[in-house]
Amino acid sequence: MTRAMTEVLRTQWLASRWLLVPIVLLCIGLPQAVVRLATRYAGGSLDRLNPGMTSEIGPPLLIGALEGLSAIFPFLAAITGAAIALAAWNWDHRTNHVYALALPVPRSRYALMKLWAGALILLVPTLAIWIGAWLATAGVMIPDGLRAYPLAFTARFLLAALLIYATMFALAAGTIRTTLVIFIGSVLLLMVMGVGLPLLHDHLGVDLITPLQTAWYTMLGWPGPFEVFGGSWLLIDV
Amino acid sequence: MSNAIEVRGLTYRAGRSFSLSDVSLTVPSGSIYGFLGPNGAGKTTTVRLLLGMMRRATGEVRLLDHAIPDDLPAALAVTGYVPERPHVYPSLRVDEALRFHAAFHTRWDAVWAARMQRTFELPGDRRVGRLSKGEAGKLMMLLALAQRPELLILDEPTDGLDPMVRRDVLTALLDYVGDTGATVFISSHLVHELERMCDWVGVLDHGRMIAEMPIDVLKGGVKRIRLTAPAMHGHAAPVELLNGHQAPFEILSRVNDPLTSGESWVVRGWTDPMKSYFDTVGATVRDVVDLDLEEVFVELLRSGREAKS
Repeated sequence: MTRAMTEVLRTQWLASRWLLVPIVLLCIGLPQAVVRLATRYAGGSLDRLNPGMTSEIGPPLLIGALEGLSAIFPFLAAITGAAIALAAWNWDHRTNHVYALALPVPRSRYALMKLWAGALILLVPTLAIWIGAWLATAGVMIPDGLRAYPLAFTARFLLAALLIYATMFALAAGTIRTTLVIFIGSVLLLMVMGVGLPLLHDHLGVDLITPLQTAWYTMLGWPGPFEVFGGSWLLIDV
Repeated sequence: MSNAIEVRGLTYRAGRSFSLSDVSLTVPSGSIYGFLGPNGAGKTTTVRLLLGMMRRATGEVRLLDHAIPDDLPAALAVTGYVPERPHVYPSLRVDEALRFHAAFHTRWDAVWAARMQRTFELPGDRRVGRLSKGEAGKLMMLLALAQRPELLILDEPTDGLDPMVRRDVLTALLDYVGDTGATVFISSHLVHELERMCDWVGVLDHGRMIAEMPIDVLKGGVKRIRLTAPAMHGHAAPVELLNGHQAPFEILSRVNDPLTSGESWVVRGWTDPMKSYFDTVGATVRDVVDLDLEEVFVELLRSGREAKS
């Protein structure tokens, strides 16, 4: 690693470290909370620390409960990626990018250094989620026929966070105004589509909903770029 | 390489209210070039265009023989920049800012930087955003000089600093220039400050260059001349008498002096033998007064604006 890269990593760490504190706490705590809540909803207890208190839970019941609660993890990954991306450019925005523009490196290289630094920082919450997942699955007696997947879960979290991180990093690289215009524009577009497309369909017989739904599912399904969000986020599965 | 900075036909437009029009300037290597202009003239915009921070509409910029923006990193590696406002990340501590800056500059002189940090009494553990204006000004100059640049581009480096800090900052700058022979391009509206240190001056007003020359030529060639009308013409002013003649100098301003029935002129391109011009029309040159740079600057702006209007 070059000196410049080390310094970029250091400054980005300084810029994002306080933001990482609640994220790391959530990454450690949420997997445990989800598993414990799921066993409770399933009507039993699998606590390894209190074996006397455990009771049988059917695998379908546990998986059903986990499926409902695990929907929170894609959001956690998205928030993590977005937070680190915004922190990466925050200091540059505050100085109107003047300092970065005066540095004797090609701008593309500087942006790549920042991208890499953020990706490395993303390993901290990833490590936290792995610890959280491991603690959550190690702390319960998993019913026969089911297995724990802390590593696969962590890998999915990392990929999802990286995807959002890269997207938000590109968006936030521009001015705050550009980022806001893109964000507000996207929200408005979704609202117009939500209202306008059914109207078009009902009054003019123009069906744009089906192709858009197809595009949406293509994005979320294999081999779409956001497939990682659409797959299984279960810590315990068959 | 004879010129450190060469700008030809630089044009830039920001909305309807502001534009730079066909700005050309040449900064000889080893010179200290004062870039003068009133507030809003376009000095900072020009500086940012020189450093490739903004995209020009037309024109050509070369820094130390590097074309901008094609060869920007190579140019920035040998160019120190002090911006109008501190640009270093405000959340970094001074020591962290120095370390960050050093990592990007291969010519960084750590020993000199440490010495200057002590001389400037910059606390290493204080955040940049919490430095006083004077301390921030010193830090900016330290960062620019410790990278051992061949060219320094300074945008109002002493604006708002108290006299003590200003002296410290300028002393460090002039010591460095004395040691290395680096070129300095310094933008400012503090005319007296530039008068003491610059050997070339360029004047920008409303996005246009209105003068560029060695400071000696500028100051030596611009004079205030007081004229008396010849007696036979009674109260007629000399300027009336000269209307039909081609003057060998440029008249920047003319003011009637009712007490002496004469006029006070500010002219550019004056040499003493030109007194004979007035002899031919019967007017008398009462005295010729040198102007300081500030007066020259004001007269240049006034004449430039009158010509434009």
